[in-house]
Amino acid sequence: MRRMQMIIGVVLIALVVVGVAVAISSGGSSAKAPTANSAAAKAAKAQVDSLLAGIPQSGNRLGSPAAKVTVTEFGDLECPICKDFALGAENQLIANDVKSGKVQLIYRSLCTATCNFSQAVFPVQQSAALAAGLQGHEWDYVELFYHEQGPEGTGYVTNDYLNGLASQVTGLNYTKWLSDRSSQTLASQVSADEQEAAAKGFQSTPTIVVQGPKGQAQPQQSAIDYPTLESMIKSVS
Amino acid sequence: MTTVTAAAAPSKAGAGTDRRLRIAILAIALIGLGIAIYLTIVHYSGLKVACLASGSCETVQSSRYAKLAGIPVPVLGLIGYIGILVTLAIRSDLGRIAGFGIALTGFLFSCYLTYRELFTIKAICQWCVGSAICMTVLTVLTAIRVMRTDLPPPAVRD
Repeated sequence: MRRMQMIIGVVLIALVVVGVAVAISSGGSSAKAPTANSAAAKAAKAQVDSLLAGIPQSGNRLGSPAAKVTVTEFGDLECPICKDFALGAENQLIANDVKSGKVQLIYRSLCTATCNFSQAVFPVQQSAALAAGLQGHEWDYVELFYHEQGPEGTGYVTNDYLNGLASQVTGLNYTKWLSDRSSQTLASQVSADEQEAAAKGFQSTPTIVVQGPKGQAQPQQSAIDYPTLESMIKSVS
Repeated sequence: MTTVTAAAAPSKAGAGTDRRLRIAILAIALIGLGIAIYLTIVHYSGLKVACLASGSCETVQSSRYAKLAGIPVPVLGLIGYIGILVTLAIRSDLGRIAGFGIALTGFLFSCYLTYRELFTIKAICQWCVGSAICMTVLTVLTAIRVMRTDLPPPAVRD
């Protein structure tokens, strides 16, 4: 009898543990991406402005073109693992190595998380970032997107969301950006990035490629930490 | 030599069955542990995961369901399989019931993850399927160990 009680107890504990795990795992689904004027968006904008202040940008490049080491991220703006990488190791890299002129950072497109739900939105969202790049603000846009990223698969990336991000980018000519972001040239650039990623066998995001005077480090297809990134940079410097 | 100190004497066949069940659980848990170790190494090293279906494993790995509260799911699997192996060393009802509890938890969570793979992520990772199968078999085996009444009681050593 006591044994049966223990078994029932264990079954109940297992159900509770898994119930909590499922609730945590699914938890983000009810959350929403912050709106442009929300406190969260304002806090994100302040962080991004502070991080990128004084760093030269051109197109998809952040940092000095004379920097000897180039770190390229193949990313998907809706990918939560890319967000982890961006707000972790990548922001440390920007603050420590890009700002000092040692490293230049390139952002390129590879559809992963977005394409699990809607392939059509991928070129639209990535082109929105590239359009900001035409005005030297792509990294502002990319950083804001990751800071304000919504729950995966909830269809939060709408025109209003993309426009709202652009309205937060300091110094961006919004009207020009709005006109540029539907350019077929930018969509082709996204497609070219994807083709190059496929040719190199990259299938997940973020994929990090580090190149320097001594060659190229083994590409990493995960959200690596800053020490790993540093050791990759050291190996090619 | 078998020493029985409890009141109820178990059948010899029961002790043999328990031994076979423990060997089967050990073997399946080691397979699952191997999968979990591989996926944990791939996760932390950033290496490309070996996958039968092109891109499917990467798709699953890069989804939000690849982590639970910031902990990579393969690490949770690693802890689960080690837990099951540890309970095998505990020769008592407590060990059997704890083993069943861990396997059942792993099985139920595997069901949830498989559901997410099929209907949310729409990609299947064969390593995850392998681990889910291991957990399913382990749940059945540990449940048999718990339910059988002709198995050796707590103080039996063989």
